[in-house]
Amino acid sequence: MRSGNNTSWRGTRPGGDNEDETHELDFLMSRNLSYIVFATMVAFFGCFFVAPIWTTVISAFRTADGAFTGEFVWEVFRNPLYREGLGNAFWIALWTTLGCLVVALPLALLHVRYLFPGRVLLNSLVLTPMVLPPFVGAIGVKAMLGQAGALNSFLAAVGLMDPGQPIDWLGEGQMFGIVIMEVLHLYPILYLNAAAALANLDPAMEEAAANMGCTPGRRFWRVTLPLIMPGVFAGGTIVFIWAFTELGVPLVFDYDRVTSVQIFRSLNDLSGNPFPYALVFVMLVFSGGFYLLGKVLFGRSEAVGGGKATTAREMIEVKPFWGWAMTVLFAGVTFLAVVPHLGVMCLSVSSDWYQTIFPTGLTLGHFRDALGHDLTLSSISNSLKYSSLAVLVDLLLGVGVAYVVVRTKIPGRQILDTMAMLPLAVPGLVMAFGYLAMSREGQPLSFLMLGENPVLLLVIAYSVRRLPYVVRSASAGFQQVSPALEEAAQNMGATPERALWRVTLPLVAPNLVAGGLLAFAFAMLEVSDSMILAQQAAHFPITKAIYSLIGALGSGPNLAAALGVWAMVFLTVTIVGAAVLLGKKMGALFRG
Amino acid sequence: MTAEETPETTLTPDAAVPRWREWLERHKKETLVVAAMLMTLAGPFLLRPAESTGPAKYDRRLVVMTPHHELIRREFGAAFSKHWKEKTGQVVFVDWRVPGGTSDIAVLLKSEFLGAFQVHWEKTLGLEWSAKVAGACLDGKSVFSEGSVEAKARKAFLESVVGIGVDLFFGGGPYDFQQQARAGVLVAADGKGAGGLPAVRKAHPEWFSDAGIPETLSGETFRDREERWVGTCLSSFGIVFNRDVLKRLGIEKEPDSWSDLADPRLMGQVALSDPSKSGSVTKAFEMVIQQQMRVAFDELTKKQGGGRFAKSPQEIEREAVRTGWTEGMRLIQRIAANARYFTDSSPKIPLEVSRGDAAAGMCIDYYGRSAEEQTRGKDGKSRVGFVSPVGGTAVSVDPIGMLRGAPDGELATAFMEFVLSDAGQGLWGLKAGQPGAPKSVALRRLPVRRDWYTEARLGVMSDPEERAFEKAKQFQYEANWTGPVFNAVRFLIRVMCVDTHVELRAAWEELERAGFPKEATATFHEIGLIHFDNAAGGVTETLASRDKAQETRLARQLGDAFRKQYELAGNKARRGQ
Repeated sequence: MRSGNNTSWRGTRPGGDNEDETHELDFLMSRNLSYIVFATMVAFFGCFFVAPIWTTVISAFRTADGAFTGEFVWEVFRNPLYREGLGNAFWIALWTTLGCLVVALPLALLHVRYLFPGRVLLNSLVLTPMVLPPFVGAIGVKAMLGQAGALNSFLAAVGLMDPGQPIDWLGEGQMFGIVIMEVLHLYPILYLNAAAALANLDPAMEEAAANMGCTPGRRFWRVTLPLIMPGVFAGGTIVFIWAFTELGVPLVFDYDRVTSVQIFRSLNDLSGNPFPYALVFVMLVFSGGFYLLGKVLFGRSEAVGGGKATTAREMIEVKPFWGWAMTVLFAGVTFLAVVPHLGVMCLSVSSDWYQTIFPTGLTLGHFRDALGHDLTLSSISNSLKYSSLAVLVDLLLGVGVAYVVVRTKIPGRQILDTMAMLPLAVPGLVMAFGYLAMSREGQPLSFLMLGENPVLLLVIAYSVRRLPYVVRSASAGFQQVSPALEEAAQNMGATPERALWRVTLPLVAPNLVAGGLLAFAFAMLEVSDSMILAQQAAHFPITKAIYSLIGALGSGPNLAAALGVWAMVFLTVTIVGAAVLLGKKMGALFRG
Repeated sequence: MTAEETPETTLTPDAAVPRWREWLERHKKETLVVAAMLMTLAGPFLLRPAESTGPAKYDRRLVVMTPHHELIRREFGAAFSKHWKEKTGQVVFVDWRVPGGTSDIAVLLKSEFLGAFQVHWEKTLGLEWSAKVAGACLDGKSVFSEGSVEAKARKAFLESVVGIGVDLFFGGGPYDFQQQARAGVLVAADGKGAGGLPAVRKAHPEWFSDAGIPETLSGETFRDREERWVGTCLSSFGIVFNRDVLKRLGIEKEPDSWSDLADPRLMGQVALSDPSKSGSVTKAFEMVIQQQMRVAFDELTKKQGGGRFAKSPQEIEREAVRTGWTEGMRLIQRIAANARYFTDSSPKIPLEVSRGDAAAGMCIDYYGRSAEEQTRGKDGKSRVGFVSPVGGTAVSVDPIGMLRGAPDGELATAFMEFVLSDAGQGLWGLKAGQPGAPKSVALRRLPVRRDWYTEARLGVMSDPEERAFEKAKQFQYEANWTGPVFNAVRFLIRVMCVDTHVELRAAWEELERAGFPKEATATFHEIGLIHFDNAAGGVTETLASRDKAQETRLARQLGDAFRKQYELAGNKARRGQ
């Protein structure tokens, strides 16, 4: 995992090999400190990654009398409902991944190869869809795709549909709606990966093929695509697992024939009921299986694609017409991706939206009610608390891990890196369920639930899931800062720790700020852990508050939309902030 | 988070520039980002509610588990906090727990109490946990032989003050409350043997009488004889419908009976909820079945001419219950075949109807009335209507009760007393804006205390025309007809209609296309597998055993059978059989 990613962080910056840089650096950080970092990480990983998964797994195989049984897991496969749930989760994941590929690859190619108007601006807007958890977007989409919704009204208005026989888009096509929502939400991840991989591609390879008489189309299939496969795959895996276990969107679409929702529905009945555990176990096995399968199928090509650019890529200038066409395509996709957001905004200011294209009756009442709601302020402050504590944990651990991995040669440091990255491969839902199971009364780690307060659990859950982002940004920082500076400080008499504290850390601070902000933004948007671990209104984070507002009688969706808009604004500020600070390097944060 | 650890020694020679400005200059971007974040946070901070029902500091806390929707929670939370503050000067925090609908809560309560009792059994009593103990401790139905481990477990549970940190269970239906009471989850007195409903009754004997809350009315239980729960307001069931959609579908007549929902023209246009989540929807389905039983009973009685072969009243009743059950379940099959899909919570039903995503749906009365009010235009007309089907709904109650091991039994008792008091009853039934009523939106429910309905109050009620106590007389509810199968109804509708909805609907479409050929229709409606005695017997026993493996297996086997049956019906219809 490691070597492939180093190159992307370096971008096209010519630099020495990683191994060369570290050959004499053992003295930079005292061995003791390295081992402390190592031990902390192993303990953290053991308690908060292995233990929750283990608790779930053994519960899936144990009868009420404590005997071993495979019956529950077997029943999951025998039961057509559960089988169908798994099948649907698989199809949703597959279609979402394919959809993201179809949307993201052409855009990435355009961005890397061609000059067209607005190229830089559009590239920086790619992350906009991610400022809203997709389940909130789904509220907007539901309002628009209803039988008397905006889309049908539009189709009727332009004469494409008989108003007497409207199409019920979501009545039968819930899965279709879910896939659309997830593609629109997740394609930026693939885009960023593909763009980074393309940028790293040595143009000489393609030029060589062209010189041998290869047609552009053939060249793409035979040269470019295989070379960027590892990068695309890395993003694809994340998208696949994300969609495979997505909870919020199917919940909002009332789609209960999918494993994630079946697990969520069974949370009310955890005592003496082994099926939720068995379902989680099966889901874990499947997502782990898909991950490994992908590694085996695509992982090997990494060795081939590892080359670095030997010549700079020349951007292709096209005729204005084609340039503008590209702009329109790019902007069109981005617009489509924010349609759910627009729907949410419309919903948040409308008093009624029925049989019309745009909502009728403008009101700010929903904002007043939503922001003034009992749940709101406490959920915002909870989210801020959970997220910032989680980021703090991540920064401490992440900096330590990244430093040990990049700057020392202690044995087993690659394992450290793998541990930090592994949470990307395990579904959030599985982890959340594991935390819940392991902190139930009578379990060894039940003290983590402080009385009734899940703050510790949520902080841990958030930080485990976001650790990879912080480790990635910190590693990048350490690779870019020359160790010579630290060496110089040590030659002047500073201890290794002081040299790190006073010289290197300030220099990598921008990376840490950016990585931290991104981790913070994603923690604020977290759905699975929040839905499962926060059971009392006083401890709800903002995503759960939004979800619980949907259910309010009458104006529920409007209130949820209003709070969603607020969250969107807040996160736009945060993510734009991260983008401003981090520049082009966002892409590598999403590599698996 | 921002880089505070910049080297202190600055290389700039110009000492006149203050440190902070220099710092700002260097971290312009970071500062801007943080400032923008702070500005966004200002909105909710400035708009925060002046009177929060979730205060940061409080003297006492009342934990209430409820399926009631947000408006009810807010109104009762605020009113009770105010009442308690005036009475005692203490700040009370009403901590609502809303894990889902009533059916969800029923499952959760059993599960949580089982978990809590396991800890008590193993840690406090130092005994070994087994499947037998787990099965028996919450079982209020079976009689265990003296000295058996089951009897010991049951006794230990009833004597314990095992709790789940929740004081009250507020909202749902009499059936679920009675079940919890029988299991020992709901109690009359708290751990110290004080408080609870007996205390409320002692203070207000007139509330617990036929002039106040009768024990039963037209067959429906309004309060528990052993005082573990009491009704707080009335509920009936009906059909909420969207006039625009009905018109579009070519249905001129507004629905007025449950069977109108089975009209094949409503295919894909009926809003329903999963009865295994929502208690009110289960209750509505029970009404459908009860009505069919009543119809069968009346017909059988009419046919009965006396003479030598006359059946005894018991025999007639027995036959009517079985015929009615079959007819009722078949009607539910047809209604479910029309369903768009099954939502996870009942408030979504009126929402889908008022949005035009569904033509009609089954729901509890006040959801329907609220939806009608919300969509009412300036001309006073509403696209949404609500109707109680004639002879199709009983009037039942929405109860409250105290849980075993309630952390604050005194406060819990005070809350129950408040809900039954004039002030609490007024919150349910008064027009918005009246003194003692919700400020902007009325709850539109009917108070349970008959003596509350005075002439003076009728004028300020939100729904004075709903003469609930009069209406109740039109429908004689027979608890012993559907009582034995209530839990099974929840489960069977799930396997027969929800889990198999795709196949059910496909078969229904084929039938409609083929003009309902006889044999295919009969196959579609074949429910011998779940005939009344099976539902009341084996199915109910399996559900009560709390053996999840067995329950899941049963659901799978029945589901498989129905799935195949629907496919067969579809095939037959295609062949015109």
